[in-house]
Amino acid sequence: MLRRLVRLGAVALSLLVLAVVVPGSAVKSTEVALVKLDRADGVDVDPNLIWILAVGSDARPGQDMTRTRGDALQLIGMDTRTGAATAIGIPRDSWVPIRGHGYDKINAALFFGGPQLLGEAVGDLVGIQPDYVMVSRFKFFQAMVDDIGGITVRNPVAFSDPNLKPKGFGTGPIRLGGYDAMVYARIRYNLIRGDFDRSANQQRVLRGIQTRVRERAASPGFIDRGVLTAMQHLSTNLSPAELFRLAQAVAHVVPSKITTCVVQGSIGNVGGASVVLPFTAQARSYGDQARKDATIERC
Amino acid sequence: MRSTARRRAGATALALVLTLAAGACSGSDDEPDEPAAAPSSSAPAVPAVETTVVIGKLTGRLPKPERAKVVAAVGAVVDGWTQAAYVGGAYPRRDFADAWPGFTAGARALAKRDRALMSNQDIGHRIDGVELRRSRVVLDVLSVKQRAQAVTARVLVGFRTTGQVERAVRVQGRLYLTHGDGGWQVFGYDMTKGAV
Repeated sequence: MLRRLVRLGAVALSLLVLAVVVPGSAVKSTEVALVKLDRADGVDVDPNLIWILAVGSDARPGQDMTRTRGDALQLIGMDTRTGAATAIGIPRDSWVPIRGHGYDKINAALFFGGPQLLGEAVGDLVGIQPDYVMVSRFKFFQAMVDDIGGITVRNPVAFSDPNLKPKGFGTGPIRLGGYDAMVYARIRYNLIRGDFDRSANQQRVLRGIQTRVRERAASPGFIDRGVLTAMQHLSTNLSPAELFRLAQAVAHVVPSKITTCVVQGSIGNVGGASVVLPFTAQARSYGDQARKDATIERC
Repeated sequence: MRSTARRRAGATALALVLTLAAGACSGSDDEPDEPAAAPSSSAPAVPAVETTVVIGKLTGRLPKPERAKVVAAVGAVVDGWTQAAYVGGAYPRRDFADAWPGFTAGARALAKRDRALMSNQDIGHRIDGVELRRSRVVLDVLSVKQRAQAVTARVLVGFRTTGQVERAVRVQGRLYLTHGDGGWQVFGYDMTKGAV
């Protein structure tokens, strides 16, 4: 008690000394102002709930990336009314029916019928047809991450790849430039659960990108430059204005309202090829949960 | 109601100052509040405030005549909103249903949700007038193939209220616009409002 009184006395004395010693402190009483500002934000995009299939193509230089095999598949939903967003990861080797082509690995749909057919295949699995399909290749993805100044992801398990990243990635929050973000999303070399873990890592990268875009969205011209870059490197039939609106929708997603899940499955063998037999009921459950508000309560 | 005439005079004099400063951000949001420099010619006793609209960051190429069109058209949309939401109307005022001209239907619905901030709905019934002190708009323009496609309008509006609530208020932030069939329309916003 005595110690507390002494401490309070010392604080009071310090304030008194400041009041006496600081020049003009007696007359200039408002050098600092602390004012409460109310903030409101919102973006009107039609429809309010947008579904985008983001596809990372494994196309090599010179190949048409819309006619190769999708290496990364994430169905992303955004509710622009609430700022909620979700990503449903689809293992690329998922053995599913593809319209007009019988059963095959889901990523073959891009090769068979381009973005439209791939969108339909993913939509049939999850029960939500995407409004947009965006296909990009590794090089663009890498450049895009560099353009936004790198990202931070929270890595739960250390992993590496002798070719792509010999030193590997440590656990905890890690900073990734363009190349590292690209290989972080690609590696499955020593991930315990292979493609499922890789899909979850892709979602960590997406979170990192969204966070970075949100941080920098207020910087004049940042979104505009992003739209121009996207127009140069993305396969899209969207107008610049539509891309701008989408980019603003991404920037207005609230990080705490992001939920992510990966469609699980068992490993099977079809004609000598290893495939994922997806848990279709689970995929539908994710779709059912997220359809109205881009939120998945349970993975 | 003593400020109605003042408001009308101000509104009449709210000719947009079309200043083009392409390629670079002109002006800083950190500038201190101060009365606007340009007086009204129609109401010399009360300095009216002109809305200054300038091009800030231009991404892509846009010919000068096109820049002028963007400044005029987007400036009018932003000014229409600040008039309808804050500066204009007959105070005391409770009706802010028409406070968002130039907004898309969806953005209007969002703004209505945020009406205490996106208009003077929070204090409208307790004031009898609004005197505009400052109005500045900086336009960051995205241009593709020499045509403006999207605009981020950085808005700073300062005004003083009279009546039961007498305070200086600053509204500041960004409006997002694209060009559609109905001309330039606000589809999103990110704004703050507070007493200063």
